[in-house]
Order: sequence, then C-alpha cells, then structure tokens
Amino acid sequence: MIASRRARHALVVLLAAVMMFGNAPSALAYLKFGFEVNGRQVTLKWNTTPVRYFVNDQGITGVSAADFQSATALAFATWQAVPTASITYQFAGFTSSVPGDDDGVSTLGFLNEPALDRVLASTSFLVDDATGALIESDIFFNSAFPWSVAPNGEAGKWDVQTIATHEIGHFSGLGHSAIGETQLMNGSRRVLSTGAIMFPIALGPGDISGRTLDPDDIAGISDLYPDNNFNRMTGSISGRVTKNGAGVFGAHVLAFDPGNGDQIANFTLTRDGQFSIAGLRPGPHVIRVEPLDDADTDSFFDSSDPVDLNFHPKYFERLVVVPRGGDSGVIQVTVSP
Amino acid sequence: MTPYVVSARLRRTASARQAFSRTLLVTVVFLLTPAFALAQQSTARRTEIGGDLRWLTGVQFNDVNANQTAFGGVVRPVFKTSSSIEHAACPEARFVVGLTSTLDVEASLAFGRSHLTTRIFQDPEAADATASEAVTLYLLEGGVTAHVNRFRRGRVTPTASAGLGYLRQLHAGQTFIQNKPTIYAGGGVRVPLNDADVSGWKSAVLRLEVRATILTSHSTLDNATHVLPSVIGGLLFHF
Repeated sequence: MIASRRARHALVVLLAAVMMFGNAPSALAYLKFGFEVNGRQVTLKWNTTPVRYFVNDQGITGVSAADFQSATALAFATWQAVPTASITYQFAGFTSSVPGDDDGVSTLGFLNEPALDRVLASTSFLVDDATGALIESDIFFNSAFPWSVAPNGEAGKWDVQTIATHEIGHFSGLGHSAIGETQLMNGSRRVLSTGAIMFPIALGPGDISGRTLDPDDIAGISDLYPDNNFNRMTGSISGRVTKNGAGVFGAHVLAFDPGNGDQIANFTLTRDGQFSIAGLRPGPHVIRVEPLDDADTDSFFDSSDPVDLNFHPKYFERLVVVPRGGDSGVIQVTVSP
Repeated sequence: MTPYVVSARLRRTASARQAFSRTLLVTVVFLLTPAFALAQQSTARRTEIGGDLRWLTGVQFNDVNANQTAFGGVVRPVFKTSSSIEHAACPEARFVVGLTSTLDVEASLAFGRSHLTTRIFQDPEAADATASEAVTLYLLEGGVTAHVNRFRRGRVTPTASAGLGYLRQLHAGQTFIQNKPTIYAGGGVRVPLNDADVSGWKSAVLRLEVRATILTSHSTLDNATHVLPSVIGGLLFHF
C-alpha cells in the first residue's frame, strides 16, 4: 500500500492475519510479511512461479485498461529483472473480476474508493490458513485520485507505473522499508526523500523516480526469492541494539556501503533487540541506528508491538565487515536515551 | 584424405603446443628462481638480499554520500562519508639479481597493519562520527631497477624502478580478503657502504627510494584507481 502526501495507509488484509515478521530474524533483508499457521511463523511468498495475474477490463478517464496493463507490466518487469532474484510474473489476460474478489485469481485494477482519501493503492492477500500457501493477491488503484501513464509523468497526476512498482513489492511479499526522510508539517507528514521503492509514502503526483528499484528493494526481493548466486555472493550483518542494558525493539538499523553508497536496512524485531540485514555486498559497512522517523510506527509494526522511539541516532564505532556468503558475527550497538 | 590432413594438422598443433609448453616452463622457472639460474651462469652477477622499512603513506578514497531521491529524481544526501586507508610502517624483504651493471631484477614482500577508516559527517540527525577496522596488508612486487650511472655522484647512484605487484588486504580477522593487482614506478639512490668481503657478504648497500604504487580500480573500496605513495629505506647485502 502506498499513500499520498495527504494520505496515510492502513494495511488491507483479507482472510489472513498478515503482520510484520516478528520472530528472531534469520537473515532478513528488511521487512517481509509473515503469519502464523498451526503455531509456526510462515513467510508470505509465492511458492510457484511464474505468478499469474489478471488485469480488470475497466479503465478510467485518461487511462484505458490496455494503458493500465502496459504500465503495470513494466512494473512487474522491473522486479523480474533483478538478477539475484528468481521470481517471475505472467500476465494472464483481462478479466471482469475486480480486486478484492476472493476468487483465487490475482487481479489488478481500479476501484473508486473516495472514502479512502489517503490511500492511493493497496494490496491484499488470500492465504490458505491451513497450509500457509498464498493463493491470491489483488492490487487496487484508487480511481478517486488522478492517474497517468504518460512516459515522462504528468503534472498533478499519479504515475501508475511508479505506484504499481511499490504495490508489486507487496504483491511479492515485501513489507515497507523505512529508508526515507519525512517532515511533520501542519499535522501531516511530508516526504523529503526516499531510499527505497518500498518506503510507505509516495513522493508526489507527477513524480516517476519510483519506477526503478533501490538496493534495499533488490536485497529484499532477492532475500525472498534468492537465485543460485544470491546467498553465495552476498553476506549479512547481525547484531543487537541495547539501551540501558536492555534490548531495543523497532530500532531502524541501516547498513551503508562506504564504497558504493548502497543503503540496506532492517529493524530490530525481537524484544532483546536482535536484527539481521542480508543481501549486502561483501566488504566494510557503516552501521547507523535510529528510531523511526516522526513516530510513524503503524506503517511498519502492529500497534501492540513495543516500539522504542526514545533514543538518539548513533553510528557504530567499528566498520563491520561482511564476508562473502556469510555473516559478520553478532555486533552490539548501545544507544542512549 | 581429409582425415589424414586433419590428423597431420593435429600432430603439428600438438608439437607446437609441446614446444610452447617447454618454453613456458623454462620461462617460468627462470622467473621464479633467478638466483639459481643466474648464479650458475655467471658468478660475476650480483645477488643481493636485504630488508627495508617501507612507509605506506595511505590512500584517500573518493567521498561517498548516502543519497536518497527527492521529488523529480533530485538526489538528496542524508549524510556523507570519507574513507581512507591510514599510513602504515611495513617491514619488507627484498631480493635483487643484477643482470648487468645497470639493470637489476628484484622482488619484494612487505607486510603491515593499518586501519580502514570512514568519517561520517553532515548528518542532521547525528553527530559526526568515525568508524574503522583493522586491515592487514601484504604487498608483493616484482620488477626491474635501472642504475642511472650517468648521474652518479661519488658512491651515490640514482636508480629508477618499475614493475607489477599484488596488494592483499585481510579485513577483520580474514573474514574478507581483497586482492588488488598493482603497478609501480619509483626512483631513489643506492649507496655502497662496504666493499670488503666480510662475514660472508661482499658489500652492503644502503637503498632509499620513493615509490608510487597504482592500485587498479577492480577491487578498491570505491572501484576507482588510486595511487599509494611509499618511502622505502633499507640495506641490501651482496653475496
């Protein structure tokens, strides 16, 4: 789900208790969706590829169904082109089904939802709660907003391909990334910049910079659907964030590559402050730990999660070296209130 | 007839390959064991072994920013970094074979410990910081040194050197290893200290050199080419 500057999103989930993966991290490259089946945590992902999807046959003013299909196909191709990920997608045809129908068919299309005045688009999932298998995922685009498929974007209109790229990240099983900066202004949040397509707030109508993936997105999709080389050619950093001797939950941990500028991040996802960041280029990394910007916890966590926002951003005093195909070994970062 | 022609061509190819292999083998043996080869050819040729202290002055890599994308694709840095390998004093072993009175071939191996340091600055949310890690360096070099006798002053002979090398960096307890091919060029002086045949060696030579080692872009931190200057001082013993 992606929200406009005016808009905040609420995660739409159908027939499955989808939440952020909250167990001890095992080489997670930022947030993935997970849910519980028979007492065990299951990562939300497609088990077979290509993932087939349909497109609703109704367009809107200025965007025909064919235009919409072409733009979303480009967004699917962007994810499919990640060289270290194995997921593939296949357009199966136009359909009269609409997104949200629980028909076992993954559908993308427009719905007019003026009441959702802060939701540009949203992704939902249908999961077999007995086996954990992902059956269907639908993406709706809110036609209450103005849309465009112009190659270079169109002032005042939201770019279908940009928003589709974000939603297809969800469609594939990725949660939100917190690599981005926002500013509170007159009671609402204004996004200043983003470092991942999966950042929860779009830059603005007319912007098309979200058509391409960032390193954090690439690490995430590769972590979910690794090809043969991904785990062999990249490495991970794991560790713990503490404050006053206790673990910090919900701290945003960024791994920055001082050689090429890549930024890949994750959160501490256990009460004792454990984190793991996967998909990193072998070599030294700078580690930066910060609380979530503007106390925006509900874009990333369940409201019951004890997210700690009361500490100062900090850089770890060591460069952390990522080995090829392995883990750095556990580091401990101590933050102060 | 065609199989015969092919067979003949194959035999010639095999023969040529064997000859090439022999040549290659001789060349490799010559390069790897110049001391033995040259000592057997002529006892007049110098063989020198010595030790240096090599001062690597360090490498400053290109600054790298943590960039994000603002509206319209505008690049917005959220913090900046500057990384360098700090200076290091490296003991070095050197082996020299004088081919002629004006040309030597030499090989050297230096070992040192340094730090890779990244300075982080211009982060509006956090104070400036420095992060570093220990790096172990091995620098293997081989090349030629020319004695510029034309400019000799008394016992002092200017030299010019050039060659190829390999810089091996072991990071954080060898969890990550980088090998960098290098090219070097330098200049210095040789000063004989002792002409007498004492204690098994014929003379000792003081050697000073300034050398620029070029790290190729393939495996530097920022994938750019950098120059690693060094100052070398030591003694060579002539056997």
